[in-house]
Amino acid sequence: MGHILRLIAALLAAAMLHYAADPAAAFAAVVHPSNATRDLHLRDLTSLFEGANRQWPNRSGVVLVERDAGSAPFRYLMGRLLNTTPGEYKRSLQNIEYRGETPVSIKILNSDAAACQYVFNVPSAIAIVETASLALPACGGIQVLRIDGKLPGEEGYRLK
Amino acid sequence: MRTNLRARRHDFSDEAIVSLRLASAFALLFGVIAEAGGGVAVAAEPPDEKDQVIQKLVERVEALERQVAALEQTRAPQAGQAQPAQPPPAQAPIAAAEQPAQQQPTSDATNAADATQPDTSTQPDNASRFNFHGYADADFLRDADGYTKKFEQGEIDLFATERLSSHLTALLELALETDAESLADDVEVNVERMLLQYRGNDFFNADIGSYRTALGYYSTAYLRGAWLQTAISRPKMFTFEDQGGFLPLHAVGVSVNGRIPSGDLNLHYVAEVGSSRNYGNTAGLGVEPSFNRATNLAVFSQPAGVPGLEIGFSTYHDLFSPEAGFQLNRAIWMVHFVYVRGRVEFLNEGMRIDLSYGSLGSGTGLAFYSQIAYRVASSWKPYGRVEYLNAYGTGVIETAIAREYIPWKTVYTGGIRHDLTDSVAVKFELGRESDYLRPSYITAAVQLAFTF
Repeated sequence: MGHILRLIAALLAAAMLHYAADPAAAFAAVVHPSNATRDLHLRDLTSLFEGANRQWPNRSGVVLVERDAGSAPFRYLMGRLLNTTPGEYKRSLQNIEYRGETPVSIKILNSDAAACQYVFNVPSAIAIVETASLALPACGGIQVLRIDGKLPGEEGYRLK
Repeated sequence: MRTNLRARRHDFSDEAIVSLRLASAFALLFGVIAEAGGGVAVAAEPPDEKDQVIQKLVERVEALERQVAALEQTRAPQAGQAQPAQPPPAQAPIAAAEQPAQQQPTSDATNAADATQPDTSTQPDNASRFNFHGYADADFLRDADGYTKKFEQGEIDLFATERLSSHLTALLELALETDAESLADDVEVNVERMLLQYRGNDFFNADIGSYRTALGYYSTAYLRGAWLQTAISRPKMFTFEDQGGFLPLHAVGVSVNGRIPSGDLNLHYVAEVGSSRNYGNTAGLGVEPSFNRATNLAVFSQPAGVPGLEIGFSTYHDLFSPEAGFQLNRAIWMVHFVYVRGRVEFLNEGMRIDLSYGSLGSGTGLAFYSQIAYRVASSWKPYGRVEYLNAYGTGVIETAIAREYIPWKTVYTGGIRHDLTDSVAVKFELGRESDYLRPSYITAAVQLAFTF
């Protein structure tokens, strides 16, 4: 019995580590420069990536730009921001569509540079990238959002 | 801080600026051609969509021009400096960006185009789109009905939508029911939904065709598709009509819905008029096919301050013919309190159903269920559910219909769901059901559910 409990504990720990984001990393939500939104509450950001809110204030449809499954931004999105798993996330997104509502638009890219570039080209897109990636040339032309009034690096910034 | 981050730019080469200028010119040229009607695809679109395309092209040109200006500003102070031995890669047009990820675990809802095609990527909502999802399950059931044990194929649910225009969507859902299949031609094909959806704005949308009745929460969230719902079994009150259920879960008619201006309360309404599926296989007798005046009004709130919470009620009225010659007045009131977010799934619904037929008497059913599930670790989700129903009445309605049609009393269900992959789940479930007409019994089930 003890072996089984230890095995279960090890499996749980491994699973939690697998989906946990790097505790030292910080992340930024970025949008197109023409996007009028400059500041988001954390709960509104969560609502966007949950698919609960699928429109910007100007009624344009939100395009979510997400990183691939193994990346730090994706792990942060699943484990910290949404507190979910890829499987449950997929289920909740399909459920929105199944209820007859407008589907969530998602683009998945395999680097922060590609995510920034995509946001630069799609005015209604929003992405979560590592703050370290903001120095990349590809991330130069896009807008970093304040989260609850704070920018990356400021005291009390919550996307980390 | 943002200024500092933006100031940390790399040098850019002449080639980068030239390429951006070319891209800008190309986009402008494309816009002119489109405006002139030279593009077949654009010319075929309605005028408002064409205007949107042109507007987006103009925005794209402006964005490229801003980027060129930013690059030139960055470059200007360094004019006198020596060129680096190997200039860093410029911010190339997106065609030269890294390739999209091969693995796309949540890509089923992906509608944006490939990143290597920036012009189409900017219009994910304009193009006609087809989305398809399939759901299937295989089960082993022990005493699910109190008597049998068997392997069962479950049902195959095929769900598809096609965006016809910016305001119109066609939705079709077919369920192939193989659970009672003993001969090859026993597979029933149910048109679960067949809708033309008009999406006007936040406050007015309309669905015309065969819809699922907006009764409570569970039926609208998990009408079919075993993979979508956490548990194996549905709450007993949401048993399908052709399996003896007493709630009208399907109807044909018109359903309008939208938001009600209500600030942070975030109220929504659904109003429906149609004909419900007006039969009951439990009675096994006649079917009254006439128009049964089904009306339903539902109002629910999704408070902005508590994401994941939904509170609502619905009131439904129609004429119901569970047996030939009877046309009962049926009224259903439902309330629900649901919280689904993060690890937690907490579903609660209550219901009252009244059946009456003049001097022949009346019947009333009061029911509720409460289900809670909590995800532990990454992919295990244990759940439990309690259901209760009390049916009583007077006259013929009580003896002939209420007790026979609603025989169960309490159901306790517990189980666990494990997501093997993003698309495959295995579930184990035990239950205990008490009926009015027979002794209590234990049920057990294993299910492999998946989406494709």
